[in-house]
Amino acid sequence: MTHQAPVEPIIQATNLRRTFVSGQALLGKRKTVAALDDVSFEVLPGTTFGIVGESGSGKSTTARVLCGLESIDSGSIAVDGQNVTSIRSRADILRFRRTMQMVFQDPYASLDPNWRVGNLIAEGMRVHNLCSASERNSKVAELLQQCGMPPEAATRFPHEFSGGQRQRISIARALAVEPKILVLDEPVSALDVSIQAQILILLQSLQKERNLTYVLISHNLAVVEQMSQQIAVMKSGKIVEVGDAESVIHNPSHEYTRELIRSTPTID
Amino acid sequence: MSVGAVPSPSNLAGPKLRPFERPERRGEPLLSVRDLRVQFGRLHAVSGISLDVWPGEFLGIVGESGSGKSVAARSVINLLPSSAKRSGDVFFEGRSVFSMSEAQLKHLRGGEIGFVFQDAIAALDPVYTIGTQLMEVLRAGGEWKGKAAARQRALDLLAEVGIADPERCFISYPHQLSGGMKQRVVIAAALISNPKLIVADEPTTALDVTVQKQVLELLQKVAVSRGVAVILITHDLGVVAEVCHRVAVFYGGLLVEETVTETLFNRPRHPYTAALIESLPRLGRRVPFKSIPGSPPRILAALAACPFQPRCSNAVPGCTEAVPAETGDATHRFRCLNPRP
Repeated sequence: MTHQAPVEPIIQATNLRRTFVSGQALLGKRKTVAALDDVSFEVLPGTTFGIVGESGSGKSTTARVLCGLESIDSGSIAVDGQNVTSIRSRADILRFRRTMQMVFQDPYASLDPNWRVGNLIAEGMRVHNLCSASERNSKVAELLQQCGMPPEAATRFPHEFSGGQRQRISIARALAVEPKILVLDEPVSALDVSIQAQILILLQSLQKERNLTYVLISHNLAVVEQMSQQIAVMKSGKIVEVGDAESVIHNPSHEYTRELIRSTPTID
Repeated sequence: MSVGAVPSPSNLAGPKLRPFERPERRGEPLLSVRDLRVQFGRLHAVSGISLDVWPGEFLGIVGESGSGKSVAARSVINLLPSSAKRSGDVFFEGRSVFSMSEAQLKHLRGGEIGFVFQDAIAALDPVYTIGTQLMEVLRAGGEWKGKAAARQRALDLLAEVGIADPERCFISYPHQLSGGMKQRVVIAAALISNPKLIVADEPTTALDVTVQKQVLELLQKVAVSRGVAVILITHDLGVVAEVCHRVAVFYGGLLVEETVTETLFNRPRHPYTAALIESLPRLGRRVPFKSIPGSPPRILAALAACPFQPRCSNAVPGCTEAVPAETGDATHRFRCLNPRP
């Protein structure tokens, strides 16, 4: 690792626990399922922390909890020096939202179809009062360009774009408030194979330019490996293995990690 | 596989999948697709595909959305909506599928050809038990020899597809089963009539990788033990590499390259195939992946040029003048004017 000990983590998640109640309450068969069971990890600034796991592993719950979209039963999350678990005031929420933004899996569902792309991207700037109305248009154009879209896209609606283009719009929208961290929940899973690489390469170059920190959630071990410095493997709400990408892939210590590696189809 | 440090396989997952030995080609192909063209209104979904499948063979069809792979697969059992305009023909054991009567088609579908769709949840009726649904397939197939015999047959099939507790599965409703088990049940249903060909359209796309591996293993197992041919339609090159003998790559409604699996990955001739391989993040190898610019096309007028030409780094002036003819030989064919060496 190039990052030495003195660098403070930008995300610190400690003993996260989140349970859901499932089953038929009427028949008295309520069951508690631990979606997150004592999950702890740290993310260093400017790096990508990959979380890989299968359905029900808790990886998406982790993403949602990090962003404050889901509450936790116990544990604590600190993001860029801010204690996320105790956020109450509107000012704190705004500060947190400027630090961390999220890109979702389905670019068809995550963009409001009634809004023009320009408005979708500018919404964050307006909410956070980042620039004057006149500056906004040129900022939107700039963001679109940085995400590989023509500035004219601003006047059009999401449905006029393909999945890959919509994901570029989602990324531009997330970057509009100049966050330090992006939480990427399966950002390429809904896209065609030839488009996935485009989006991953875009994310890599944006990270370099803006020194972004990524939390990348994916079921695809190969994608996570290529993008991340650190990888956490989740199963049944627990992190079963965490370490730098190289050692997790080439020297896995947990049997489940080995099973995932063997099960991942490869062309090699 | 370059993950050399992986220790001995556990009994959980076993070793990685590999294509089994390809059966010798004897006699005539089981299935022949001849210059198939399918149009939905303005949309040209398939623009002239020819393809053969021999008995016992595992053929992969790989392509992105809109490549025509699923439409071609449905044409094999004449399962296109009546709004589709089509030409060309499909021959199953020499008989033209497009000129079959409804009765003959009924015998073909779910009889000689079994179908496995991506969405196992949609393929099973939520209000009937698995047992009822499997017995229904037996009844429809005209193989009814009484309820007791049908029940036994269904239980045997559930065991064959690796359901640990067939009796319990038999009385279960679909929602009580996991995704992997549902897909096993769908495969069992496809096997009921002893088909000679199974068409599996993205059968594992909705499944977790560890479950995907089990389902692919199961398809391989039934292909070997029953000598049934399998057409596996997928967008996942990794899946193709691990289980298929031969691969056909679709793009823009055309079959752009077809050859044996090893050759396809070691020496792809069509620039699209090569670019697709290079765009894959490779597990255990930090090789930079390259993207293909642009996006897959929707073909809204009859093809008059190579559909990949706008995204192709190998394009030459002739590429825009006509659809490239098929070149190569019986073991490796491709449609490209300027193929890679």
